[in-house]
Amino acid sequence: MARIIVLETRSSAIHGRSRKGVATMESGARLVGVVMIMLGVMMWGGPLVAGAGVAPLPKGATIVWSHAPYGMGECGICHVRDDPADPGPITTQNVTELCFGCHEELQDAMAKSRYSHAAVEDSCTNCHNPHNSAYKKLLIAEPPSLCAQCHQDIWDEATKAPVQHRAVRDGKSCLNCHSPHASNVDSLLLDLPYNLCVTCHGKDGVKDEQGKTLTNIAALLASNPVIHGPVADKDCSACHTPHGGKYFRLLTTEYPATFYSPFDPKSYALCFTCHNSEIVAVERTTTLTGFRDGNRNLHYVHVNKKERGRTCRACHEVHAAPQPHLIRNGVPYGKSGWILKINYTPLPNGGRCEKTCHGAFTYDRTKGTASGGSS
Amino acid sequence: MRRGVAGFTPVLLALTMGLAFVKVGTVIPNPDLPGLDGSEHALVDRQRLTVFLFFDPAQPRCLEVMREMGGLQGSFPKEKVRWVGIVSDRFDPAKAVTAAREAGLGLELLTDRGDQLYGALEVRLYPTVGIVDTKGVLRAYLPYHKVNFTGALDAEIRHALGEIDDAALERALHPQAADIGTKQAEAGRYLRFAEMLWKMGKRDKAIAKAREAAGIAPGSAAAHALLGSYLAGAGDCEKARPELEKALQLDPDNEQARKAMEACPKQGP
Repeated sequence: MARIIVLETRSSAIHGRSRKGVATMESGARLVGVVMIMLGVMMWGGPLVAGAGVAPLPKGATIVWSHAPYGMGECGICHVRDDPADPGPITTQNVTELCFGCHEELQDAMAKSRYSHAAVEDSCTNCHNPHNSAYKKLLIAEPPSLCAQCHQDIWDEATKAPVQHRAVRDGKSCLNCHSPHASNVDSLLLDLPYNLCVTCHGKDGVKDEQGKTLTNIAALLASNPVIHGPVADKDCSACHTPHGGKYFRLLTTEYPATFYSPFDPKSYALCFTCHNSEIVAVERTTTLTGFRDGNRNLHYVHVNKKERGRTCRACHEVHAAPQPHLIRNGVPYGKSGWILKINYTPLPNGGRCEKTCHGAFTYDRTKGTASGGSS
Repeated sequence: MRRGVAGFTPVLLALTMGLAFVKVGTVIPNPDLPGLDGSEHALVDRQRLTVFLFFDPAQPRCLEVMREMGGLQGSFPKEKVRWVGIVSDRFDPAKAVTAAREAGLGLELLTDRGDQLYGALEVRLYPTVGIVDTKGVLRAYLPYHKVNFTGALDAEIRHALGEIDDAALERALHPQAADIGTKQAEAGRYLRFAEMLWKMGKRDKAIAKAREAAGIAPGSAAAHALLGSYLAGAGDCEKARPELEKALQLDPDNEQARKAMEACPKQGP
């Protein structure tokens, strides 16, 4: 199937992303992609120049991995002459084509996957030494330093951001979450974000960089029937930036950490990246929200205050909750951690909260109530 | 794609779906909405699938999704799919036109006066994409996804068009990376290596590599067939036969094993 190289700025100027079945591959675009890769290599001084990383390691070097044909002295498998002293050039014009002669599974994966790594499309020797290596899998360097040679911006984000993510540094580093070759998931992810995230965040006792214990998200979801849309869609990256960021809990943008906050749309930037900000901007509506008494917008009533406006977290959970609309059972109030019960009851045309921040109030979307859902 | 999430229970799914939108599989309202030229247009097209997008022309995520949709649009013929942008009359229509043009997305822009349709469908989010068939049945609902939005939308449209089945849709909604680290794949590499060695006349090394492949993937008919055929080619029918029998046991149609067996017929009792 035809393919296109998408050169985008999401991760770096040379982050190529192939999407198959979307549009016809423009030979010009491919050429530009290859040129961009080479330019990137020159700019960062990486070893991705053809030939630079393909020679066998010098005598005396530590060799961790050896390619089977080279180790067996079978030069003729890849070269025109079966003579270790003078093997001559390789038997194909394109080194990747030569590799695919044996590594059929990779060729198959590249062909069948929606996305493939531009570095592989260009040449396997961008990342692998075909003879031997000081690193596993014949890599010319280990991740993350190998990946950072092209994806320097991501590495900077991971190592210099105020809030960092250990998953980028620990274990297999970049390969904890990304396939270096091909995937059917965006950004060459090994799986949808949630499935990757819960490999760590689905355990008890995981701590953040400051030592604070993090929620076991898998357990939270298992015990709460109502799940936030992005979580249900396994799209944690809708709200969290996986490499590093400037907001707490690796959130992609601002979200108030407190119960009360003077109303300012900027403070709710994260929620308003998807939720319509008008729900807290207009006093009267019959269309923008179901949390209204007649046409009196109760989101506006609760949130839009110069002082002591309730933040989203005052009433809503962010991942999963026991009640509809992600409404919490109770909210932590004050420094002592006292839990203030919300006692929310859904009704056919509205709902009721009682014995909480206020006395019992009922709201009715269709006809309104005498109390008017006051807070 | 709020239709299902692998790994979550059906009860959870039931509660997750449809809370903020009309349910997938139901007939949705089909109002006439004014276009930019003032003429009225029905939301549902009775001849084509309709993909509609509720968007705020100033919201970054809407613009991101519109760019992704723009990249996808060319994959579907106009005769089969109609692309509609629904914009509240709170927004400047000129900005909506500019946003669509800059995203490379061809949209038939319709105005939602007083957010009436937005309210009727209980949309709540920007951007939100819906797919509705010629009978007015909502086939899919997709809010913003950072990851896999295009893959999911592409699959939902193709599924609604009848181009892919439920299983293919499920694979697209829950995609995975290619698994290239299997024993089968490793054995395959060894077999290709063995074939090259055989062609180079290095029979002993070729047999050794084929044997390694059969050891790595004992369930591979191809590995046993290649090993057996090389042993037979080297005149060692005694060692070839068990390998060929194993290959035929795993794959009775294995042509290579069958031919090699002809060269090594069973001796009499």
